[in-house]
Amino acid sequence: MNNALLIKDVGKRFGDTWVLRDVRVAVPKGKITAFMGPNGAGKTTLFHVISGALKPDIGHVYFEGVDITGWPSHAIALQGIGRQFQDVRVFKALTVLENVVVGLVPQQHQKAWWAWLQPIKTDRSMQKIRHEAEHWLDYVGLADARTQAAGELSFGQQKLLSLARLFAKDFSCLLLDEPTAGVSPAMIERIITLIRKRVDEGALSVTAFVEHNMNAVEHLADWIHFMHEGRIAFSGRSDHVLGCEIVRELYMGI
Amino acid sequence: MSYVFHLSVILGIYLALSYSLNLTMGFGGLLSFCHAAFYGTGAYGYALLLQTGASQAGALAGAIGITTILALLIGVVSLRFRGDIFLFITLGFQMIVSVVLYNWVELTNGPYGIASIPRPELFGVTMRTPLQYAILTAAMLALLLPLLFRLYRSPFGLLLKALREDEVAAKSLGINAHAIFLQAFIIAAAIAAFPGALYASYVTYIDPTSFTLKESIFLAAILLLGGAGNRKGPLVGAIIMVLLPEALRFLGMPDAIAHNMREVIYGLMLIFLMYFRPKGIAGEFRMTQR
Repeated sequence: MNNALLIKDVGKRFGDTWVLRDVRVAVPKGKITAFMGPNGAGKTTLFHVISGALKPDIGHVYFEGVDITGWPSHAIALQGIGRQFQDVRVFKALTVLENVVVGLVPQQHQKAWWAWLQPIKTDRSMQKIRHEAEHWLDYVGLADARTQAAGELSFGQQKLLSLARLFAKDFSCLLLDEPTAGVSPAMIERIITLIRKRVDEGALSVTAFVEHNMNAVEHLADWIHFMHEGRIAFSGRSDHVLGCEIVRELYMGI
Repeated sequence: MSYVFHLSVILGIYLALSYSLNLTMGFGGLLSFCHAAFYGTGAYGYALLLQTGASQAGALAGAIGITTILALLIGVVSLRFRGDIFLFITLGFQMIVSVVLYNWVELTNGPYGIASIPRPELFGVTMRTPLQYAILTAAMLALLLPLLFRLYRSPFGLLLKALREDEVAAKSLGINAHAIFLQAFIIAAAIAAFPGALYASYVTYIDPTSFTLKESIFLAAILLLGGAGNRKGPLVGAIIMVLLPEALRFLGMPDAIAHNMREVIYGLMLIFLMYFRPKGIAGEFRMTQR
């Protein structure tokens, strides 16, 4: 099967309100899939469920054939699913370089005693990691800002930094929550180009994004799932969905 | 001169305590109010094990072991929560430890405390004078601070800082927050047992009043005042908080009001600092909420 991410009959409720109902989606490999819909349609909640920030009340999520339903978010990340947040969430007091380094720290360094027992190995491996992080900052065009605190960057630059963090980590699946929201037109173009470049390089097997910016959807999406009131209202090739009268009515009010 | 050596022993003890607390509170951003419980467990563990006939090294190792187990138990429960709830759970555990020290009379001798704690012997010399203790304290710091500083600048320290900045984002990059916080919490506690044992052997008498909630708040205040999350903050905070009351002695204030005035000055310092310099004097991040 060519679907890397499979969402099967997922439902999620807050109190008595179901914000996701019977969501059944297969996200294909090698394509960029967009989730569109009005505010409150359940797009971000769906990303929360896939990435482990929320547990679904019913249904299952499979990634590369493995049932990852209800896994903690760090375990889902280690399985290969990366997440960009709507509000970016960079580590503001850390430097730009450190922000990328954090994602690259190998598992054994998460044990405190490693730093005591293997100081030379730790220093060597950190040096290597810093070089790698610098490469990814260069990739997104933030190399000059590497010693700056991430909180000092503009919002658009913080978006680029969060992309660098994801690219560096080498996730095979990316969930991007409004990657172009709140940034200048020039920055939107830059972000679109970077995501497209990464997909074309074959580095990402699955890329899914939530977006309100029609320009970004048109330029990025191969396939669109349109969500409405917690359900997938319909799905199709991007040109079909964007041209669809119901979408225009529901979404754009035209 | 022995007064200066005495002060340096006390300062050294507070440096070890505040630098260890800095790992969880400064780097991890977990405001905790039970560090004095670990300090006390170290002191009591050491004194009680010596009473059972254990060697000094055995008593010290045992005290660290007991403190580590206690920290594991408290950490597993409290680290399921963050922020205010974590703070109140640690506060609760601090009070439980205080109550146990006061009321388990058969074990701890309750409010009467443990007296005649033997002085340590090193290389055939029994430590007695403040100078000898000042050297011993310096040796303890020379052992503990490099271990802590290594952690501060290690990848582990960086991950702690990332978790402090944004736990959700850090987890989404594959970082196991619970495991990292728990390790930091246990290491900080185990290190606090050292100054506990040193204090017990120095004053040769311990009672529960030295390890109360007030002491935990005092330790947190050192970091709030000096600043947290780096190497300078605890040093600045400990020097001010420990040495300031001593400096006030020389103002010739009547004894009847001197103690109360010290408390007032502490309070005012914290209020002014939180208002004008919320990161602390030498801190790198703001621990208190706006």
